[in-house]
Amino acid sequence: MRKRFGEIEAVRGVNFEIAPGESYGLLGPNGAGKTTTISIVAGLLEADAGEALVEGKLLTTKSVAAKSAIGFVPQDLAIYPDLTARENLSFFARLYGISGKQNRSRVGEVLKIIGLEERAGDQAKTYSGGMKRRLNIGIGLLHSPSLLILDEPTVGVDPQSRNAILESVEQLGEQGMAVLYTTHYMEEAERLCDRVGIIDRGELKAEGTRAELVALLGEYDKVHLTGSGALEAAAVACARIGAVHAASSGDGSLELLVEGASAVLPEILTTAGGAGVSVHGVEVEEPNLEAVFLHLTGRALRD
Amino acid sequence: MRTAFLITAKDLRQRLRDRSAFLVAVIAPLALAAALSVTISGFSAGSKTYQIGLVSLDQGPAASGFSNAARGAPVDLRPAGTEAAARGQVKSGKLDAAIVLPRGLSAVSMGGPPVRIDVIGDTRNSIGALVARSIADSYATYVRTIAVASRALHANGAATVRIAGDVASAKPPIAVGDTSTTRKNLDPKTYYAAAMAVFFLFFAVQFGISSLLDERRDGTLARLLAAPISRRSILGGKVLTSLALGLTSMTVLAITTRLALGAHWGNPIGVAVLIVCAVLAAIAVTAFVTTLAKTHEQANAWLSIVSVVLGMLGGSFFPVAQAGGLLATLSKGTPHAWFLSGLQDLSSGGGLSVIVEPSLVLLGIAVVCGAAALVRVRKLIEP
Repeated sequence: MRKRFGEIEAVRGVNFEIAPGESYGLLGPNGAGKTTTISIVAGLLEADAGEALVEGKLLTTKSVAAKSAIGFVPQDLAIYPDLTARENLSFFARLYGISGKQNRSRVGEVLKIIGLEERAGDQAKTYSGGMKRRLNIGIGLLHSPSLLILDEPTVGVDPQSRNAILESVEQLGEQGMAVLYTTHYMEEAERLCDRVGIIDRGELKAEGTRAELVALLGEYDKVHLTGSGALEAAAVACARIGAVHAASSGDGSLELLVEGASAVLPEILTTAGGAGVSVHGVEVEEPNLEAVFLHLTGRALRD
Repeated sequence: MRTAFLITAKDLRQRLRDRSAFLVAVIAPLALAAALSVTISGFSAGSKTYQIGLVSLDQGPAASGFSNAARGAPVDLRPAGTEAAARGQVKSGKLDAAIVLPRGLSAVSMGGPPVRIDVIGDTRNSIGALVARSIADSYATYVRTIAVASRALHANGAATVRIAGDVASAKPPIAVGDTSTTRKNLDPKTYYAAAMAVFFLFFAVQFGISSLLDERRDGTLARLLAAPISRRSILGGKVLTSLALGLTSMTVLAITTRLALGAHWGNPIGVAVLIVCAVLAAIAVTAFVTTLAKTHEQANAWLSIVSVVLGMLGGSFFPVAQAGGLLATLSKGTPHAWFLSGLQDLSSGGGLSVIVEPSLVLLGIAVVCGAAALVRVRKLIEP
């Protein structure tokens, strides 16, 4: 798929497939093209080129049948605050053709899943942030879709609610629902997703299981260095060291992908010190998806 | 169509719950209509009798002649004693104004020397002073006519006293009637009931179309667009919301102002036709203005400005068309003016045919603005 907004090409040839019951994560920093990609997959936007198929049906902004197979949970809270949880759910269920007795029974089931049975009759504006998030997700589950799309559902959520949301998504995957999950949190992608697509600047850089992606790193180790001073200059200086594959500076730290970390560590510390960094700590970590992202893009996930 | 009704039902439930629609569509127009009709009734000609004091320093028949001149005017002429006493009563507000008839006034018509009639007014009650001044002017013209006729006939040898008596008792050759405006104009209660209803109609219908911008701001539009429904049904739902709110507001106000304020809207079928046409025009105008805005805040600001300007030009606060000139011309471009004009024609006792023109103009506004809105509305239904 490709999608352009004026001068900016937000999606540049993204291509992926999700099997029934599979959880697929789109991992990338803010502005990578995740939301545009899933907006096309959810039928909100038309792609300039390429196509999305759901259960073999072509998905466009007008394709009613294909949209019925999709549950969509937008990044922002998309609920009506003046309506109760029951009214919110009932309204959206009717839009998906669930009415009458079936509507009442399905709304009851979803209220149970999202743990809002006791507050079902209260207006949503009286809920805590976590409860609103759960209702936001519940609306996407109403019609038992084949594919559930969640666009960064944990952004701005407290740790407790975040954990509850992640548990719910894990259960959905176990129940056989395909899940497309976008996030810029590496831990969420590692925990929830059977396969992950790494997206940056509108391009899918790589995709596969966690193990497959980490294998892309080869013999590289991830070195995490905390300190203060000219971190950006230190990253540039360290990147010139032969064994350093990629280096990136962030909020009080340096991330480096290094071949044979134990041998080259002294040189890294000297170079960082020479660039004006006062080093407070050094850690050699297990390679993870963040390291893969650094390896593929030359930038840290948080950049 | 089913999904459009679902969206309308949801919107109406939201509006009823936050009470905003009820306030804008019923309470505010009803309160303002009541306040304005009561206030304006106090100024309305025919509904107030001005208390004018009369100080007669003349010993002749001038005082009774003056009373005749004031006949038919909305005044109660009462003796006020001396000039000083009259001045005191005007100042204290017991009299709206006073008129002092000078010594020698009766002699003027028989060739006596000129005199001056004084009007005592108060700056706080300029209308009372104007009424008194107008009666005094009218009497002065009357006396001048007698004096001139007497002088002319006296030159031909006739007796001055008899001539004056004949001229004074002669039937005026020209009479002035006052029928057309009083029959055509709505009474203040009805006028302001209708004027406020159509003014707030433009605010009430905003809850429909412009709520698309609210849905976009709140993220729910993305959810509606992801649902298996057409964009046309989303738009249809919003138009139906405006229609339901507009028709309910106007109907409730017509019934309530009739029962509570005694407003007379006229032939119910004619009123219903005018209401439907006005609601369609209001929806189309607000829809078009909404499509020009990029954000919810911008739309609210523009819709408020447009609603107030159209309301003022259309005569919702005062009958601008009577000012004439450019204002009267501009007034004809507003749905408010055509709606009120249609009601006035109905109240004149004409049949349903009298509302054909205002109804067609209102529908014309609805079609033109609605078409312009349809061309631009696509961008409103985007995530």
